[in-house]
Amino acid sequence: MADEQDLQPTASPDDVVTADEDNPWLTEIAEQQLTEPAHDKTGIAKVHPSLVLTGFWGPLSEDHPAHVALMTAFGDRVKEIAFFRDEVTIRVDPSIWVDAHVLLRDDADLAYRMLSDLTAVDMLKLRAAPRFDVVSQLYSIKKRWRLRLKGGIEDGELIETLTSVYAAAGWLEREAFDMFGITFEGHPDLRRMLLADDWEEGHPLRKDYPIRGYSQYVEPGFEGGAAPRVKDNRRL
Amino acid sequence: MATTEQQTTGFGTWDVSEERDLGGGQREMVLNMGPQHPSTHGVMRLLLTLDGETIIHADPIIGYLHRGIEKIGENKRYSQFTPWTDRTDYTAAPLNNLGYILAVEKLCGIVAPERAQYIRVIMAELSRIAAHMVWLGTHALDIGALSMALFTFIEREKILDIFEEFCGARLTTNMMEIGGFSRDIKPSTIEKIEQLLKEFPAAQQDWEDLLSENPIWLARTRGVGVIEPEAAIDYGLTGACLRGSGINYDIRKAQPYLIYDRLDFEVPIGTNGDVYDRYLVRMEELRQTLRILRQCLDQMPTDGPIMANDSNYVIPPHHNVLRTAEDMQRHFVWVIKGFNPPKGEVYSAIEHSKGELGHYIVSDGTSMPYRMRIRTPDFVNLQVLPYMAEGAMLADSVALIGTIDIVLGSVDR
Amino acid sequence: MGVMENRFEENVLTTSVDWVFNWARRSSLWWLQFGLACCAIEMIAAMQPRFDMGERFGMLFRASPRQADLMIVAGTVTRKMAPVVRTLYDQMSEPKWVISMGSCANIGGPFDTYAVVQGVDQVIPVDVYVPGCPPVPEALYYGVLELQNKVIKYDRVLRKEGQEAADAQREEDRIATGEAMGRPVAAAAR
Repeated sequence: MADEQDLQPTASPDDVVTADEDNPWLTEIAEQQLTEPAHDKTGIAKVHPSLVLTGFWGPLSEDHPAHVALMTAFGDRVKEIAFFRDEVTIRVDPSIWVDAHVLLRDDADLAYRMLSDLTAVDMLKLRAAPRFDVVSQLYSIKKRWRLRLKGGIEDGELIETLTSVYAAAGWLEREAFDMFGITFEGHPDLRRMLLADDWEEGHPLRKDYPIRGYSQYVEPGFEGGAAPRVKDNRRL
Repeated sequence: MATTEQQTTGFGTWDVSEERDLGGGQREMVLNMGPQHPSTHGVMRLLLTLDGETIIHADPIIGYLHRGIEKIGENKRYSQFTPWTDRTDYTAAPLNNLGYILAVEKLCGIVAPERAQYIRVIMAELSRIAAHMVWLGTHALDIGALSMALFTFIEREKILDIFEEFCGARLTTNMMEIGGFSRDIKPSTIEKIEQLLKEFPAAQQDWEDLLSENPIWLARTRGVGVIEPEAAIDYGLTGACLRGSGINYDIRKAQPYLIYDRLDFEVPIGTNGDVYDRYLVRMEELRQTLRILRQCLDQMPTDGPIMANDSNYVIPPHHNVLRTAEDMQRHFVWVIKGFNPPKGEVYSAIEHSKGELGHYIVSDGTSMPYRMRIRTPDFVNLQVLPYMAEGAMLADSVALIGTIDIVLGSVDR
Repeated sequence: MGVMENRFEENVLTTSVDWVFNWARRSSLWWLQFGLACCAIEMIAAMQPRFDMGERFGMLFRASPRQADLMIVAGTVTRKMAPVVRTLYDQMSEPKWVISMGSCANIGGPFDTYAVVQGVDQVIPVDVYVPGCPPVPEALYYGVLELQNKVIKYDRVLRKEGQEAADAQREEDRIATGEAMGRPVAAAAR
């Protein structure tokens, strides 16, 4: 795929990113985050600067190279870029889900070659539509940067599989299918993974799925032996 | 099991066709390995398609220990969830605590005091040794070196004693708290660690004398289960599986957390990417871990706070709770209601003994996480097994499972 | 010969065959090596040199259920795993005992979720429950010792056919023994 050089990091661990003339964005964003009124009522808790000034996710601004590259290629189908602490999240339209990953992986400078994680979030209680966020966490060994991509899809909508881009996506997408019922179009082996393959009771990590499921397992002949259930007053 | 009309689905299928005729006198055999098998390191099931003794295809079937820990995380308050992190990877509970606690602290915007950070590193590195002891013992046991488990568990017990003295539990420690520690490390515990640092290198030398140049060990591990560097990155491998293939990625160096940037240690890298290289990488990691421990003990400030000074997210110190009304109220509210971190989402990764352990937490501003995702290293690492097993011999399958270093609680969550 | 020589009169030891068999069973419980979750690590630790449970109690782990007479359920039993546990139990030959080790196997432990069976006693009968999360090896010892006390009282009829059948059998044995020894025995007044 690429020569040996690309597989080794170019940045040295001693290169700690600090706010100076070269990186004015750091000061700016850091000040913004630090002066933000804290969530709590007392306002005593402040965000510790060392959690913001890491530089582990690249520049905290719209000039982030990944954002620039995506904007150049896809224009307004790149929805938004968000910052929290030192993290960068780019939300893209699900129609460019695979293309965006291919672009970031093959970009010679960025080289987001590793898919750290792929999962989904059920946004049922947070917004009206779309229902799910598919979230991927990328890592660039060359740059030592992380990046998070998000794509929102409705329940029942298909999203293209990343298995052609990253081999790691195989099991991660199977798990997302198992837990959320998201169908990844073109996945070679999309079946139940953590739950039994003939599980019929829906997808447990959806917000409308009760934590205890819909039925309890009792071995035949042991019906009376089950311990009495405590009343469930927890949420869901 | 007895058939009944009561409940017939949800348990998985069991019938495995044993032999298939491919025509032309060729046959392939499907062999079921597990879920109850001594060499699958727990309850993993492996469906092996065999041509003679050569593996054509391996299909790992996991989920026999899926306990819904992510769902539990969404139904527990931030302050309550630590005990479940112990039980994801039960061979290295303090490392799991650390990963979770760092994610919550990042979300809340607080940082533990210096002394607490040193204690965290000490406990994390000790548990890295303990986890590698389990790995080495069981891996060597699978391959045929039966006595290794006896040796490694002797050293492991010493580390468990240190944990027991520090937090009261041997295995599921639940030792870290948001903001630091509530109990300080005792001088006697430090003495025990010093003692371990003295004794451990000799013990490790013994194991290496037994294994590293043992012809049987070499025959079973060299050139077996080779992972090319490109494939290792493509499969998202982390930890020794990635470093054995020659990729330099250790989160302690690449994106240092806690006080790892002050410590002087090296990241061992393999060259061939086979089972033997991964063994060497892990053995060298043990030595580097001892170096880290040595430096931590030397650098650790002898006095100072061990809990962050924060009124919202951190449990008030026990001493004050008994003496001031304010802290007693705070304690009451913290325990009964928890705390509300800001809205946002964080992904915090640490270098676990098996690779990258990431916690992705989405907060909606309430006291319970909206989404709690645990990215466990061995779940992602395990999917390279079919790649490694293709074309390997049947007898090597146990070596391949062992070299990935899986713990099924962590794979299935 | 040895220290025992000439110290006793020539004697005869009377005992029941059942007791001897049970004594042998108690002293050599072979258990099915069967780790499910966290408790399995403590079970392995109990086997290893420091605690050395196997050598102390004449125990030996077997990987095959056919050769085992004790199953230590060490860890969480999930819904996916429950039929496997049952199958393994069915494959063990009689007499067989079960130790449920740890809170998860006892009552589901902290995992009250969709995927977990709330106690292994909903799947197989359990003889001894060992509490703890996970139990320390010493606790497992205590469980094994308790089980040994139970094994020595093992009664095949009681186990298979219930209390009533066992009482009847004992009564029958009592009368038969009395007749064999030449003294008629009155039937119990109940």
